[in-house]
Amino acid sequence: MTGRGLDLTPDLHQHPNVLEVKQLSTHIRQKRFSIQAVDGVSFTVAQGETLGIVGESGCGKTITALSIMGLLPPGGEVVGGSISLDGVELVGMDRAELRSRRGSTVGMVFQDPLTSLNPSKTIGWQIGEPLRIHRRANKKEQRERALELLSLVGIPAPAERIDDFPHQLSGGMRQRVMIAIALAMEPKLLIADEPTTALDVTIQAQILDLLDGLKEQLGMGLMLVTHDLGVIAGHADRVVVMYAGQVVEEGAVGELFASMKHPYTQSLLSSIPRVGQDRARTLSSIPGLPPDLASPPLGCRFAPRCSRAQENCASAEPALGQVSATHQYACHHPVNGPLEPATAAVAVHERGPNGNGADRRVLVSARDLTKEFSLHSGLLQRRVGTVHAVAGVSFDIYAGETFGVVGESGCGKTTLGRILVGLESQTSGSLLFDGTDIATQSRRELCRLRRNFQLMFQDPYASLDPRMRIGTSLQEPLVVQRQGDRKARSARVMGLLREVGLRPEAVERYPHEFSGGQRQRVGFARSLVLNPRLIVADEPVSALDVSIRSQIINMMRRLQAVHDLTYVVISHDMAVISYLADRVGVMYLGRMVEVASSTELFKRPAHPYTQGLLKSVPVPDPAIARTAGRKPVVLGELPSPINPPSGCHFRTRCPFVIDLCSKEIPQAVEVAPGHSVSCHRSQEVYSGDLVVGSTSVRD
Amino acid sequence: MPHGAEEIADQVIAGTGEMVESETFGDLSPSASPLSIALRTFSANKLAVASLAMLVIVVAFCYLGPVFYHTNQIATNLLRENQGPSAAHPLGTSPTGKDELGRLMLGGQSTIELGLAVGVIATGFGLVWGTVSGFIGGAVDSIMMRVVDALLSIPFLFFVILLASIVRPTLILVILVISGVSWLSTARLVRGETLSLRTRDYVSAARGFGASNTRLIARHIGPNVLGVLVVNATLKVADAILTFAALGYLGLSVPPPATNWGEILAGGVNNFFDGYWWQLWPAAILIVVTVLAVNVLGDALRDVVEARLNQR
Repeated sequence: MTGRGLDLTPDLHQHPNVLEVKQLSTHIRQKRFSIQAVDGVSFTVAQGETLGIVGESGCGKTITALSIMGLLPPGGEVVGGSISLDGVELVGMDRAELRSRRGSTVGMVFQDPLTSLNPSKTIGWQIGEPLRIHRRANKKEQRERALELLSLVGIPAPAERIDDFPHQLSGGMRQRVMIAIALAMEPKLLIADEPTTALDVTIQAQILDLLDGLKEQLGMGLMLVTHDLGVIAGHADRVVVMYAGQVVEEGAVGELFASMKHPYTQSLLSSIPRVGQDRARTLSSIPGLPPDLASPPLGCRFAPRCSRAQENCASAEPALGQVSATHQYACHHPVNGPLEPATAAVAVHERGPNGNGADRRVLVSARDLTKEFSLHSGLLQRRVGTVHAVAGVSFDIYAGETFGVVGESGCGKTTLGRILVGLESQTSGSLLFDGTDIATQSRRELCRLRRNFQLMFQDPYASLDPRMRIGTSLQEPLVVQRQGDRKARSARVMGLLREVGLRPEAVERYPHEFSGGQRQRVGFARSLVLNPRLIVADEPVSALDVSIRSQIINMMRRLQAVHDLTYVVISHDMAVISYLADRVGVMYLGRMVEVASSTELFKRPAHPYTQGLLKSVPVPDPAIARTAGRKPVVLGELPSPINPPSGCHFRTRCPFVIDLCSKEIPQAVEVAPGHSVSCHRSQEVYSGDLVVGSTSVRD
Repeated sequence: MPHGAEEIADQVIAGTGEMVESETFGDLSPSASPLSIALRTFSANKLAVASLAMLVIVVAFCYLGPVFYHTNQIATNLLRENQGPSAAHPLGTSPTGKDELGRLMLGGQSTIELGLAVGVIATGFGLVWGTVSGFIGGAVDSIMMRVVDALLSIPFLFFVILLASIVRPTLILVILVISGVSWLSTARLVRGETLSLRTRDYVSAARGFGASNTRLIARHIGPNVLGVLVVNATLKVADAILTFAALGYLGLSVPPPATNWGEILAGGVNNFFDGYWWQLWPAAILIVVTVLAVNVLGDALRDVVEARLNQR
């Protein structure tokens, strides 16, 4: 073992291979051309082993998994190579026989647990279905097995949940049900395609831990397809890195992370922001996009985006070369190990509120902000309940800083963001923008005020009118606000496009003609058009690939300096927040439980929830991910916002809960200047006497 | 398409002194105009092109036919009733002794006029009603939709029979009556579409930079509803033609000397057992072919509308 001497490949070779894929090629026929989605991919999965497959979207990871399952989309066809599952060749097998293996020898867990469960059948029925198909089990057997599986995948009180319908379960629970279905026939191989991408970090940690445990318990092989190197570092034994339908590097996880040879692996790893990363440096990113697989380029497919590319890269395709028995790569000009941070980055202007409190100007001031949504039901639309989306939140945002809002989905952060830009109005409480109360403005005044604050949407595609050319979309705010004449507006748009790194031709195009990253640039340009002072960015990068993500983050930081912008960045991603934000507010079930400067918060969190969130973030370094508590630290799920727990909302999931917590709502206290926390035991947590994850964990 | 390294070459942005990567547009051909994409999609659908051709022929038959083929459609001539096809009357004569071929042309004119008129009126009214109802929401929406529900609950045939016994039907009246029923489903469709569109991010975005309601409806919701609406309008035309034929068949339509295909069909059915096929089949075939062609055209339009958005 090279690198950090971490041995993470425990005697894999004693176990037989469950899956052997050799030179697999899969094409997807379309109307006018054929996409060569998978091109000569080979790998194996041994019994009891987790193989991670990683790469950007469109690199053929999912198509590889679907080829094994025999579930290719219309037009998809395995055109060459072999897939041997448990010693039996699947390529060319007749359909009936293939069907008998699917769901019995191999099971699959899909990304979105909401759409992969049938909404009109109970979960018990759905778990019993594979048994019905493969074993012709009777109702009683099915039910017994379903109960067994539900407790196996960690669903509390299985007997009560077995007759539930999918909509009655949370996302994490649904994913557990999906896993139960995949495991019903005790498959030799489980394929998990982005099993946790749609889930919150705390739930992600739980599900990944569950998969780890099940793999060991049942002795199956696990194929973990993901774009997240953090997940790979913590949970895979070996890694296959895919790029443009090919394997570019493969190795044992410790070896690969410590001494990668392929520049793609290196760039992929270095473009991930990490909690506590040096904010003075820009993130490294991979320029451009993966190639079009309808006509893949000659030579090395990564060459056009590679900083090390030389002449021979464009002409000769590199073959897989061995470094050791467990590590191979395909590159003419290999690197050696991860990029040193010093060479990775160019300094950005360090800015934001560096001075002390006196010279900081408050731009946004929220006091006891509350937003309630009523739930109506029945014929007469009677009010049956109230969702407290935002429940008494107070904070200040200073001019020129980046304020991060972080929390699990459903904690009210998006609603808060929409209130800040005036798209929703608060139920009670006050919100001052630069001293002006937005709620009391007349319609005309509000329209004028809107120039000052703009929202940057999570999904830029949805935020652009599909029937408008980009130029028209970008000019529209100016037209609405009656700014400038046609010529001036057009010039402004051209200037903006240049600033966000798009070509002027973009104005002539429609939103669907752009890639995800380009669309987010357009979305950002549109929020800049009116020269606002505040931009609220709601999950600005979570829909993007890691390599593109860092480009957008760098762009946001650069333009903040140029235009003197104040940002509110809303995200569930702690690493993104830690890199972008000067100060951070942590939200839980409508309340802001902790506010502190970014450096302070990530070093010394004083709320158990913040601590737990931080520990749930997958770290893209096997040395850290494997040694420090690999067990999930925040258990359970977010309670319903209709009936939140009394007292402290977090008490149902908190390991340090005391009697007081259920009786009294903790008030915000300052544990240090500028660091306020709402927790009855904040002093103990802040001083380090209580550390989440180190004590025995409650169930 | 490879992204050449030089294409992605870093570019220094003036004023900031920082490096920014400029992106390329990959394999996109020069931006195709929406119209050319629409034409391309449409012409790829052979059935739709054939339908369009068929409709052109039917329209030419009805409107250009009488220019070259003169017949007397006013005077009844009982000496020539129910004659079979001959040189003088290629499709025979009607039970009242009028030339069948000429009669089909005349009947087609009123049918086509009615179809188009109903399509325009019902769609226009339904669009306005549905957009306003869906966009404003709340109590206004409830009231407007209950009006639609109430009108839908009136039995159509009963209403028409009642009306026909009170007033003497004219083409305009029939158009208004059919439109009066036809717009209801359009209003529902448009309202549903508007409800989903008004919560879209791009509508929020426009609201966020201060766009007025009028602007939201006119620029963002309207054009996006239009897609489904174009298709719906075509189907309305086909529906109206069928309804008109049914009414004519029941004798609830425009009085003589005006006629329509439904009425011709009814005459043919009366004499079917005498073997007067020329009074039945030509009218039946014309109705079926026209309605089918309009429906196929509607389907093709749906593809065209969607193709503009789903190019990749």
